[in-house]
Amino acid sequence: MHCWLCGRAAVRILLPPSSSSATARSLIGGNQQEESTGGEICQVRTDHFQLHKPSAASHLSSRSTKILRHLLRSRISLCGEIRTNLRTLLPHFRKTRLLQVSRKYSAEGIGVRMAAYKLVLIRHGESCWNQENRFCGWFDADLSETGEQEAKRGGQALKDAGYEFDVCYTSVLKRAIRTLWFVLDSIDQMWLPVNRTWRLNERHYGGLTGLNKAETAAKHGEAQVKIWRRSFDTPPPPMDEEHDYYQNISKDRRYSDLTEDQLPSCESLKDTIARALPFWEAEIVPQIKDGKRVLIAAHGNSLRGIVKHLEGMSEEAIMELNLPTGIPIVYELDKNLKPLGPMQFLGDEETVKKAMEAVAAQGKVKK
Amino acid sequence: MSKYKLFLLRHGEGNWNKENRFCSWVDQKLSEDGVKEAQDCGRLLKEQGYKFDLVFTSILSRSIQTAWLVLEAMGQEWVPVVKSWRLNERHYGSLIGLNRAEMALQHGEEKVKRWRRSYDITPPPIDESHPYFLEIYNDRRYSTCDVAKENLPRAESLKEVLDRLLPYWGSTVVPEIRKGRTVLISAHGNSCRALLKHLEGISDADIASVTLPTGIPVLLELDENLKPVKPRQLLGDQAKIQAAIKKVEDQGKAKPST
Repeated sequence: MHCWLCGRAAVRILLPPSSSSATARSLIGGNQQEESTGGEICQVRTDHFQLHKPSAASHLSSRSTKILRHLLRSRISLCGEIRTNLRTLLPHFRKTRLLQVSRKYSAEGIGVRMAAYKLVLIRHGESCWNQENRFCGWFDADLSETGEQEAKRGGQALKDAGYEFDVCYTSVLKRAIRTLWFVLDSIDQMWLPVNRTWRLNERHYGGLTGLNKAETAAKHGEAQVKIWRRSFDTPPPPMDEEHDYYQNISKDRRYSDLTEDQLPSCESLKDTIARALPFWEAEIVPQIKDGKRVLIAAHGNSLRGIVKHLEGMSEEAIMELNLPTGIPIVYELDKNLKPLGPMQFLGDEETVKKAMEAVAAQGKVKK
Repeated sequence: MSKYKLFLLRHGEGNWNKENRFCSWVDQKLSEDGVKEAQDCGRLLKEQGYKFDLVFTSILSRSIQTAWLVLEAMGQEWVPVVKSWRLNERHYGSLIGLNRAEMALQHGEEKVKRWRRSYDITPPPIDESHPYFLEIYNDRRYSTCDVAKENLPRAESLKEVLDRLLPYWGSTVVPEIRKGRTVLISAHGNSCRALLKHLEGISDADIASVTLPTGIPVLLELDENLKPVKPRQLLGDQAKIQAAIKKVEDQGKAKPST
């Protein structure tokens, strides 16, 4: 069976029984009655479909639009492909009218578009330094026991939902890597290829690394701290050679391949995103487009970079967003890697509910 | 004068090792003892100040788990880990899942020893009727190999292990070693033995008596032609190493020796 719109192999779909008159039905080839529900089977590919509420169809009168009307009444809307095809199939159809109508319905997307890809992100859980409320950044703090539990729960959620992956990405910091390991262990996919990159590291907190909130306020003053917290592109003070953690971080063997320009001494959120996204584009996107199911285990700020990019969020909006920890975040993406809807969380009802509420509340709180 | 350092590690006890069953391509994880062995190994390597640049493992969970535990103990989780079926344990064909002691009682210690320790005698192949056939060949990981699933082995002699390991060694591991990178290969008893045979030039006859203990890192110091400049070193407490060697040897016997 072939789609009468685009000619490719068709998938039968069921139309609601209330749709279409006999005339309209006769205009569409290959209709068959579906006994069980009394609905109609229409020979159009399911990936042309969105569900919507048709209302503009009634004023269309020319014969050639009866097909369109049938489709619209039958609660099928039209994607760009159909628009193009209808134009060739119905050349006498008034171009503007067709475009107006079909643009309205395909743009709305009230229902469910077909997902081309699924992407899963997971932000690591509590680290030992989180516990102490210290700016961690590039310091390689380990997960606390709580953080380990969070990772295991995240893995269990993915296991319960039956997720399979083809490739994984993570940073070079152990709290993200170990989170990924717990997840892979839970879902029995330890054999997956894992790519580690500094570009998915947490934001580098420069001179603030190691300080807790009180120390920071004492050292730099409340006002300055507020500026740093609220700014997208103001970096904290750099980590210089005198800093307690300079040797530990800047001279670590894992960064020996980085050029002077690449190795940061501090980062604003803007800087973090600027070094994360090139990796996303060059390495991850091609894998996704190749049909590989990707899992990314990383940090609050590097994941913010990806989310901001995927959702086209503003700088203000991304700064307001705090991703929940240890909870798998699922995006369904269309073929252009645009999310079909907001991020979904995986887990038991309680966990998911709490996470959604926490995220929703963030935008409202003035910091 | 040694130019390169290469580390081989046979993973620690898996659940089936405890039961003395040929595990082979069945994907078991480490037992509690096996986890501890890996952690001890990591701690030892850390104490001795070794720094890895790259780790190779098979695609069987127990060797990957071992690598992870070692890296964790050393604080080197960031080191890249590359996985390949070509480092998998030897495929024991239809002997998979059978208890070694039972086999020894059934076929005699000598025959079992020959299957285990000869160089080129292939055990009978696994077929669809085998209880573990589907568990192995339906696993998605075997659709991701550089060889089509239907062409993957159904049974292997040690020689055949080396035949599928050597191309990987040459194309993927050697170039890294030649870049001066310190490599750890976290694999299995027979894939490690096969590699040792190749590196040390052990004869077909002599390889039968070479046993690698579990959880003990093996250091090979190589010259620029990748030939060992001295005998392999088993790192760690010598008494512990001897006990570990004996434990592995006992597994082949019908009754464990005291």
